[in-house]
Amino acid sequence: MTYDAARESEQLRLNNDAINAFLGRFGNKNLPPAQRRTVFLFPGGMGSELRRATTVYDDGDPGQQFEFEPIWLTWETLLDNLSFDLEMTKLADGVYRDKDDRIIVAVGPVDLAGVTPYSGFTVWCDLRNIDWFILGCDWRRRAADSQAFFLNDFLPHLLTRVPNPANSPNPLGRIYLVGHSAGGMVVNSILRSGHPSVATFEKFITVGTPFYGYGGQLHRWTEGDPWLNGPGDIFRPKIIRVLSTFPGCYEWHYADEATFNADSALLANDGRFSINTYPSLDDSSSQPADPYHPVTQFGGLFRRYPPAFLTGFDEAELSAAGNVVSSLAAALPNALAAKFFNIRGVGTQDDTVSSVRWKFMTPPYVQLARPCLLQEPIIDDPMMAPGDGVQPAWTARLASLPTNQTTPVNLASFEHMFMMNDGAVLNRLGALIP
Amino acid sequence: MTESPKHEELMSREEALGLVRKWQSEIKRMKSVERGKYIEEKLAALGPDAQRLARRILNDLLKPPQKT
Repeated sequence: MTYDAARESEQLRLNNDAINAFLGRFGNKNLPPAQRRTVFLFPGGMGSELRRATTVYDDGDPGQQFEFEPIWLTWETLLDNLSFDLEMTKLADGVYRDKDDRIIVAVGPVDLAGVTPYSGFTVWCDLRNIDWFILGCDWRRRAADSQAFFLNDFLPHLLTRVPNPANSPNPLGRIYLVGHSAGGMVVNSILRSGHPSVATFEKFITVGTPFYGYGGQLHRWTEGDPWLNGPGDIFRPKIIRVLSTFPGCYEWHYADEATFNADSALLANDGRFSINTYPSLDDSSSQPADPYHPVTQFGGLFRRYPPAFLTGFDEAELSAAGNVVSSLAAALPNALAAKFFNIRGVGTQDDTVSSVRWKFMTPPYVQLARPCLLQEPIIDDPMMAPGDGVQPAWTARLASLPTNQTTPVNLASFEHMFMMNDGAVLNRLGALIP
Repeated sequence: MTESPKHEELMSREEALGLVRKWQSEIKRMKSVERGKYIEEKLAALGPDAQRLARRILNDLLKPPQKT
């Protein structure tokens, strides 16, 4: 058994408790098949719980099973540098392994001090007799990995867990896929997968999902994360190095210039959410600074991203991710487009970063060190835009979809991470899941 | 119907980051066996504010501070 096969097998096994609970809820409802609806929710980036094996994977030992302990997100992750152990290693064949070959799997949503981003959503589903399952995604990995896991591994596995299937209603009858934030990129990827199951799903719904990227990730390549950087940002270089090993995070940038330009007329004709210029500009020249086609100056000394030898930034992964983002923003065939819906949240104030300006990093790249005495290379545009506080409304829809499929909703607050609990979002979901 | 957490349900970013940085700093000086107990005690002392802190952290993970 390969490392990836072992990891997926363990991820299925660790989902069994949640599957049993799902099937229990499903079985307890006395509803005719026509009234049954099942929603699979894909959490946003960093919104899934990750667990790490306590022992090392052994290539020569098929059929291993492991004990696991939470690694994301716990207080120890934040306070005791557990985040260092999220680091990944890319092998020569492009396959990723987890640090020290200790498998990491995703199981359900994050839960910190009893707070989860989806508690209101599940209560809402229960009140409406909707069956629900929250499928944790390893947000460090590419969206396509979660897509393949769901279609090829999870769904067949779930069916094998149905007790007495000949006499039970099919839990995979009317299926709705809902993706929050980066989880919507997984839903989008499933829609475009060409898998035979896609035709059987009712609707594909994204909530606060970027289609043309957002500016937040660009900061992390040079600034790390303020919650993980430690006192006085002492661990900032290490956190940057760890984050640079996550292939999934390379998919969160503003879309490349050609992709943006292909939809620029639609993006510029979006009422108060219109955007007229490319959202990533060079700070000096105000010319586009395409995150997926980074230029350098002076023989590579002046750079957009840190040199690989300093942080492990992976330009091959960046290039591959650019193609993914471009493909996820492409217009859909009519049959698929008719099933696709984007909910974009709009807060009460225009308070969402909508574009960035970029300075070149220059030798000796002291921007990466702490304390950083220079201005950071990524500068947010002070002109805020309508949005959910993280995703501007202009990016949270596939521009080529009909406008009645990309309705904005007015949020009660600006909390992107908790928007799946917002009454306006749930009302819109209720209209889409009749 | 459930509403989103209001701002007052979130600890302020400054207060939350200050707490986290202070605890990170103190934990660094402890032996590993003492750290779990230290975290438990700090969270217990926070009481209901532990949830306000958790909401702030979860909320801000996807929302780097604006650098203008």
